[in-house]
Amino acid sequence: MTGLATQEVVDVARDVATDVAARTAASSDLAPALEKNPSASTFVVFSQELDKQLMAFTLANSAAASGMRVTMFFTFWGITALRQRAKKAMPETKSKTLMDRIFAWLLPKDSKRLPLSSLHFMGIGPRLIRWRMRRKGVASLEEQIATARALGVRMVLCDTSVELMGFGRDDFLEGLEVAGATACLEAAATSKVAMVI
Amino acid sequence: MPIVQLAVALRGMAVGDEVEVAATDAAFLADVRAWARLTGNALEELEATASRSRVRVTKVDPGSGSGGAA
Repeated sequence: MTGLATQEVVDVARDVATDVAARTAASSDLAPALEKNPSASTFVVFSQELDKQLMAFTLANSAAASGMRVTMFFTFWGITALRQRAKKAMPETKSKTLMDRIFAWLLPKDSKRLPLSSLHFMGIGPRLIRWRMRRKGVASLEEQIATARALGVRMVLCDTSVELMGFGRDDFLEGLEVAGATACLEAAATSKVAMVI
Repeated sequence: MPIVQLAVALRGMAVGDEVEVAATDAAFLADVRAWARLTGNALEELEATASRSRVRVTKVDPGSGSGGAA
């Protein structure tokens, strides 16, 4: 595709996704909207590894580009890809226990610190693969996340996983939904494509 | 992500408009064929070599592009 840089795509996509967002907002609960749409897809993202996250976002973005309504349901280690450092200025919504802090410290702090499922080499692997991706013009995970958001991909955090690992809402990117297994199943049941990654 | 870029470009176009896409991605041709089947847009293949492919897409489906057909 000529002349469209990734940032431009994100910007344009964000603009055109507003009507999608409007549609989504119009059906306050997503269930009726999902039923109406014959081609929806659901990706359950369980894994935290960079390679698996890349695959999940590539599929989700391709599905959105192909006109599908897309839900990504992040559970267990998968949620760490959407972490962001809580802003210091913001008072924390709930006080953290020592164990909460240990979990937060042990898990990847954000998408840039995800391990690789193979050839990790104590952190050299992810750097190497990111360098190769840059050289070969492959969109980075961060660009893919931005694109997914711009395309109106619905991203849902598993409520139990967030709770279990001692996180709060302000530990994650803004604009994510929080829901449970039943909401995930509903999205999957009304999808033509459903995958666990 | 040429397919995503193509879908985004299509959102700004009217039905009947054409866009030409050139990509160096080896998988682009297979992907754009699948994309055309999924979205119902018309595809014409202009060039297909190992290192470069070029297609012309005519917008058929008014709802195609990001976020899902309404």
